[in-house]
This record gives sequence, structure tokens and C-alpha cells, in this order.
Amino acid sequence: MNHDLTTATLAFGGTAASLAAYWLWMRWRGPRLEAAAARRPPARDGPGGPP
Amino acid sequence: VKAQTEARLRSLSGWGALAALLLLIWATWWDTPLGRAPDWTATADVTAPLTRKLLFTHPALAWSTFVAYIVTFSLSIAALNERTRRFDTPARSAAEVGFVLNTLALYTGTLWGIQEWSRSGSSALATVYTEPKVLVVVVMWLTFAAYLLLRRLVDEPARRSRLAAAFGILGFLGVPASYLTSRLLAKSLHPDVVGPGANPDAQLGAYEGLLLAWSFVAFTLLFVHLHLLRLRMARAQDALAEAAA
Repeated sequence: MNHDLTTATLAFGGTAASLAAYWLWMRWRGPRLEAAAARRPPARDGPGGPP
Repeated sequence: VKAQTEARLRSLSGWGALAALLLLIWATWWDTPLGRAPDWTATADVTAPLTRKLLFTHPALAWSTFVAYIVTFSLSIAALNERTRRFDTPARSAAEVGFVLNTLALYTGTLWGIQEWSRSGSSALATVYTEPKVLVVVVMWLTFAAYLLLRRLVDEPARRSRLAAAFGILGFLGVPASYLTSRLLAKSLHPDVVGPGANPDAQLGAYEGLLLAWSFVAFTLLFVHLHLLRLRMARAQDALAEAAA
């Protein structure tokens, strides 16, 4: 029995969905991490930051 | 200035990858001014003509995996040589993006292999997973899975960086090994359509060859974009870990 359409749908759909999810996750998480890092004072010998 | 350049590159590669991928999808399924959409429905021995359109996705996924692992390999050597975060952080980003692309290459390859390589009397999955190139890629995938795991498990930064670099170099060996298996081993089911030693039975038309080349360009751009996105996250994670220490 031939499952050509199912296989093609699973392959192309799965690839597109995975790549889109990975991209969205990084687009969402990246700026949040950056903002959190900017709020933290530098580790040592750095200028500024709250006492 | 460096951060600005990187942000510009990130955005540029993103739009470039999106345009290239949309064009690729269009040309895979519909006619373009340059040629007719590849169609194997009338080809005698092709049982899965729709799945065969993975020709413009699966090799490109494998190619971009190789690009990512080559980047990881080079940065791992640099990180071993100069023990700073300068090379360690981008090596880790490239390895993670490579692992995602590697997983998708295996996923699409498994589905395609089940359709095209299944022979009566033997399990389709067994046929796919005893093929030499697939075995090499599975070992490579496992090595990079170990790479990502030990990145999470080892706490001490210097030791983590050293160990990861060793795994990055080791895992990279799968790239030349995978390229060579289908060319050197007669048992291989993978048809070679490009490069020296290409199989004359697997010849492509000029337009199909063009689409294949285009898919490599599109997925290389996609890798650059994903790598830059991941790098931004990794740098912020490093800064947070440093501040917490």
C-alpha cells in the first residue's frame, strides 16, 4: 500500500513546524534573556550596577 | 558597534532565508518562469512521487547540518587553543542549531527511506537503519547529543569547555565519514547526485539541479540566521551565569 501523501505531509509539515517552533522560541526568549542580563550588575570590577 | 553589526546580520540573514525558502517551496510545488515543477508521477519506477520532492529539502538539511558541525569543529579547536568564551559560546550555538538540523535530516530521511527503499520481505525501518550513511549520521547525532548533555551536566566552565570541544571535534569526524560512505561502499543505498563519484543512474535535469543547488543556498542562510539568534541567547545566558557566580 502506498502512503505517499501521508509521508510527504508528515515530512514537509513536520520539518516546517519544527523549524518555525525553534525560530519562534529563540525570537521570544532571546530579548527576554538579554533584558535580564542587562538588569544584572556586572560580575566583578565592572562599572555601575546597584550596590 | 560589534553588537550592531551582528544585529544587522541577524536581520539580513533572516529575511534572506525567508525569501530563499519561500522561493524554494514555490519552485518545489509549482511552475516558475524558469521551469516546470519537478514531477515524478509519470516516472515508471517511482512509487512515491510526492515524497521524492524531499530531494529539495533532505539533502539541504544534511548539508546545513554539515556546515553547522564544521563551524563547531573550527570553533572548538580555537576554544581549546585560547581558553576564553570568545570561541566557546559560538561553538555551543552552532552545535545546537546543527543538532536540530541533524534531527530533521534524519527525520525526513527516515520517512523518505521507508517509502523508496522498502523491499518486500524485509522491514523498511531495518533497511533504512542498516544503510552505511544513515549509521554514520546516527553516530554523529549521538555524539552531538552527548555534547549538548555534558554542556548541561558539567558545572565548572573551563572543564565544560574542554570536554565539549573534544566532543565537537570527535562528532565532526562524521561529516567526512558520511560524505565518503556512499561514495566508497557498494552497500550504500544513498544515490550520489553531486560531486566526484556521482552516480550516473541518479542524474538530474538542469532545472532540478538548479533547485537542489538553490535549496543548499536557502538552508545555509537559514543556518546563519538560526545560529545568530542562538548566539544572542547564549551570550545573555553567559552574562547571567557570570553575574550569579
